[in-house]
Amino acid sequence: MTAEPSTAFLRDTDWIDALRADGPVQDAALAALHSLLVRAATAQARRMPAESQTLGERTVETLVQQSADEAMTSVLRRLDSFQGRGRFTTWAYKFALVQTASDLHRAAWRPRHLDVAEVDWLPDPTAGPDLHAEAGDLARAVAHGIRTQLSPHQRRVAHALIVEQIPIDVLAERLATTRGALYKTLHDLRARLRVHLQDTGHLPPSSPVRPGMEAAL
Amino acid sequence: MKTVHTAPTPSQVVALLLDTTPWLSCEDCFEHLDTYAESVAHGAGPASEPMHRHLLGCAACAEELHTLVELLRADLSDDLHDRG
Repeated sequence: MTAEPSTAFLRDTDWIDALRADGPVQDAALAALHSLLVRAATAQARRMPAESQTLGERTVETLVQQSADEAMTSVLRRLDSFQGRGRFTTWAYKFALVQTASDLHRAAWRPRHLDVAEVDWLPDPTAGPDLHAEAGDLARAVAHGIRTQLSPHQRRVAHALIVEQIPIDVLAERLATTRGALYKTLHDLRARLRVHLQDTGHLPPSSPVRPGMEAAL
Repeated sequence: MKTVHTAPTPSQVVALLLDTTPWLSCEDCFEHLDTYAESVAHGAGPASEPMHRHLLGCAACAEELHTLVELLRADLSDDLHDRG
């Protein structure tokens, strides 16, 4: 078994200098960096038990290595953009985390058919009056707002991300768009719904909605 | 058209109505994720309101932040152990 390269002696500027050096110094720095990225990729994979169970241990191990390799390419390509606001190792870790999360999500969801067609949000006709009462005015107003205020694309994105809980990277791949573009759509549709509900009196002006408020609804 | 016969659940209502202003993109979140995670790992409060709001509204970025903070806390623990 090969011992992991030691990075304890490297300060942030040392990392940059060593990665730009030639010969054995650069080789050692590259090996140390790859070791760090594998560690980060492994940590991200451990936080994704559902995907790991779907993919199996060997596939996850392969993807972790591939994600670390891809992250290493990204780190080296963007070395000039490291500004030293935080530690170099923290800056490098994030490339591995994002790459691994995306790779595992996409691999785990690849065999699944995603229904991201146009959707219409209607009350459940099989639910009794008690259930409707429990759903509350706000939920009905939200459903109405979705039907009347959002574009077909916004309705699709809201349904896929919030109801179906499809990971944003997976949805971006299926819709041939980007994570950033989908998040912008989500941001805009949330704002539009809030304004609509404020106009209809279901939300007070400037009311903050925060995670953890479910029990109050 | 697919018809969804349901009103949103309470957790979906919250997710749909989250106030994620001021706007911050996932790309900008990524740029600041390392320094933000370091402040969280060192026990400081949220240093940036746009980052805080983005992380409330973006499950993917929030998940990556949690892993990063976990890694940094492990590093801090290793550093303390090495000095110990």
